[in-house]
Amino acid sequence: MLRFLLRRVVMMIPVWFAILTLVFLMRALVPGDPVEIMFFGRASSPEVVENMRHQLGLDQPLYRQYFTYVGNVLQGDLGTSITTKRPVVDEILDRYPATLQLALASLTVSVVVGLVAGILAALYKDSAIDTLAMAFSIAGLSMPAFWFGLLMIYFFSVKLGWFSVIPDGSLKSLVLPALTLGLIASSIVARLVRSAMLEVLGQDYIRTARSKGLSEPRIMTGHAIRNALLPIVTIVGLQFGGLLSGAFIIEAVFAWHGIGELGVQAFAKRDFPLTQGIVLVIASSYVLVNLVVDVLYAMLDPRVSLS
Amino acid sequence: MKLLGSIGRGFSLMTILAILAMALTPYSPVVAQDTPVSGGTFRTAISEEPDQLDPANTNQLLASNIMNNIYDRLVYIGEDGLPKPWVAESWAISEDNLTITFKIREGIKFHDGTDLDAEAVKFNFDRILDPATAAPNKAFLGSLESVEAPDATTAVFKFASPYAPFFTNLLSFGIVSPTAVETYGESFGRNPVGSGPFMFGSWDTGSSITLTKNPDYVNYREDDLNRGPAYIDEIVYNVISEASTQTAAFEAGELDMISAPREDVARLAATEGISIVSLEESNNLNFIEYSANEPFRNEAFRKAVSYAIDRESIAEIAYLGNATPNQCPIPIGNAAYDAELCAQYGYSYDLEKAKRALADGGFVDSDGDGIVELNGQNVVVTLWSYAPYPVQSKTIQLVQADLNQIGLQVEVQTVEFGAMQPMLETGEIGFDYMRWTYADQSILSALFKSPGWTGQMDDPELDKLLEVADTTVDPEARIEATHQVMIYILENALISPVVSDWVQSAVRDNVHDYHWDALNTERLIDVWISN
Repeated sequence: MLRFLLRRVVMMIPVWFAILTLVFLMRALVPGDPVEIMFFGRASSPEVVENMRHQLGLDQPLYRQYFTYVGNVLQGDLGTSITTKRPVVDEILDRYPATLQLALASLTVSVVVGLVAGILAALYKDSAIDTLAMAFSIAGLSMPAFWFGLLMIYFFSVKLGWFSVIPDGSLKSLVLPALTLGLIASSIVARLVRSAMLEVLGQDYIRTARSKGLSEPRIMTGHAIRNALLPIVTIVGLQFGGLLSGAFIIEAVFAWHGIGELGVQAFAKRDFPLTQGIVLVIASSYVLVNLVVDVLYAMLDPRVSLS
Repeated sequence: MKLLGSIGRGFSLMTILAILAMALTPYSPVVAQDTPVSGGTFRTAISEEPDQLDPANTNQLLASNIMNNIYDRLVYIGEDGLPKPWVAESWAISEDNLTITFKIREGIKFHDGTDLDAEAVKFNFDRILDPATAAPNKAFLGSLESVEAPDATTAVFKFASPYAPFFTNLLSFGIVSPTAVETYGESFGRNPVGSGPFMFGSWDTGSSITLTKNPDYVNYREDDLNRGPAYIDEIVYNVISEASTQTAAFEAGELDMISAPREDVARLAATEGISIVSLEESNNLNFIEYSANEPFRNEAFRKAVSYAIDRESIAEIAYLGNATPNQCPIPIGNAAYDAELCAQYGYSYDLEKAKRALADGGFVDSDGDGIVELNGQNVVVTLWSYAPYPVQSKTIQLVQADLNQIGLQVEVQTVEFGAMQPMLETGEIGFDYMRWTYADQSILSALFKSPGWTGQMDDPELDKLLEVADTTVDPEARIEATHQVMIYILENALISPVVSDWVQSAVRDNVHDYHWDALNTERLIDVWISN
């Protein structure tokens, strides 16, 4: 187990360096000079523009900027935000907990609703329950998240007044954004669970279990669900990676001050140290989640060797 | 208050019933609550977190809206466009226009208890002039060379050449506490200390900024109603990036005021308990600007476009009526704005004149396909604007239709804000719809002085006129000089002005005396909240 983990971690290193290089190049490749953007539509003097460029190291050759960047990142220094003049690490640390909180809550909603709906739909295939569950799933898949989020706000906050629109840091203000994200994500999970369960329920070993006289709940928990979980772990892992990178649109709609919202603002202002820092953190999250998924896979499926 | 226009609430059934009830009652016991009451929290929204609250380190409009409550300034600009005493109780301009000596009021204290004296004023401007600060607004100080403080009440500003925009540009330079700058260093921008009606309270990163009332404040501004401390105890700026969410929070009663999204103005105005307050004489100017390439360098082309734009329709359709058609190359709220002058030299909607202008410039439709040619080639041009703003897209589509009518084949395209500037500078963008917000008459130098803000200008004659306008320190003579610039711009159709869009806020009816000053800044010191 330890060797497996170690090997996976070592394999992450070149991936991570490739990410780091891409993140660095991102600034050089994207159009628009960050210093000029600051003065877009305003008066400026060439002297000030030059000074600012020098402060940011933009007057150095590209290769030197690259080595400086990599060196700094390895020391945990992601640079200083151009706009707020605060360390990028601080900016991200201020926001990441909010994103993590929302990601965990949404994932819980997605997994619970998805599993329950999917299993029920499979057990009662072609019944009204199945049709209803799949209709909700189609709706969830095709509804724009932005519109669904606003609908939730208008209904539950403006009309019913159950929740405040502006989050106050309480668990209650987590409900609407987590439901919005979670329900949308659960529609994919429900479909996958349904088809995986149907496949598993048709297998010989289930028939064998039934003929042995095992109770239905035993068959479900002991044989069916565990086997059906494999493809679901992958998709849930991907979803979690996506949620950790900040739900850019949903965070904006719910005034949820996570990393997605920060990313949108940083990019719009060409605050490149901040944008680079955020992309790096997001990409690293994905790599980490991938590692966890691989480990979970090995634990669930004895055929995947840990060595 | 002349600057304020207002769209009243629509007449709902409740309003009609209320009016009927009042008409039927011989004596109404309800006394209008005209007397301001103190207390309460004023809750509003900002679309993003400001970068800094330090005037030496930001040029964001959003930051300056908040800073206006924290800092006082040397002077303010009255509705006549002239500077009025504030922290400076008076000033004298030297014969050669190179020295302005301010007499600083005695007894003003910063929120940290230290004195706002001439020495503090000197510290502030030295800090912005220091190249090491890299103050983004330094250009607004023009030819200012040094500031001296011979005694506690005298601040002497020395200029290398006469610089007329100085008084208006002081808008960007709220006076900060030197002691606090030394205490906080790099983080002063997040711990601002000034002498204004509100003190910095807290900054909850990413979510809100709170200001609290300065109980000892004395207001020296004559354009406000309130002479003493502010009425409201607290201002809370909630960061809500999504406009629809701001509106939802406002309608749910969680906010007292929001900047009204144009699409929601009519609906909100018709909602019980909500009013729309509009500043029609705004400092906004929307215009079409041109590159130095063909056919845009052709004066006849620019004149034809100027004649062909149906400004009324654009104001009605694209801006939903929340903008004023403008023929002047300067915002309607500007001291130099003159509707008569611009009607005389400008271009009102006239398709016949537009066609004639094209013909004069050699643009003719000889093959009868409805599209004019220049030197035998069909003229196909692209009108640009920036994304993602619906009003920009709608306007360029309307202009496209206008120009089609005079035989110009026009494509429209929007590009992300950041990508636009390099394209303007290379001339890749031939003509585009642009918006500037600018308080001073020197908007004309900022736009047109060679090489111009897009790098496309090279006009020594215009430069000379601009030089006169920027160095004429006497305010009335300066307006006259600016008019000469405006006439030149119009005669040569250097840009095609289109509209000045309004500044609009949606305010709950229990919020009173919400207004802006002549430079379009909010004056929250007057605001009070009734129960």
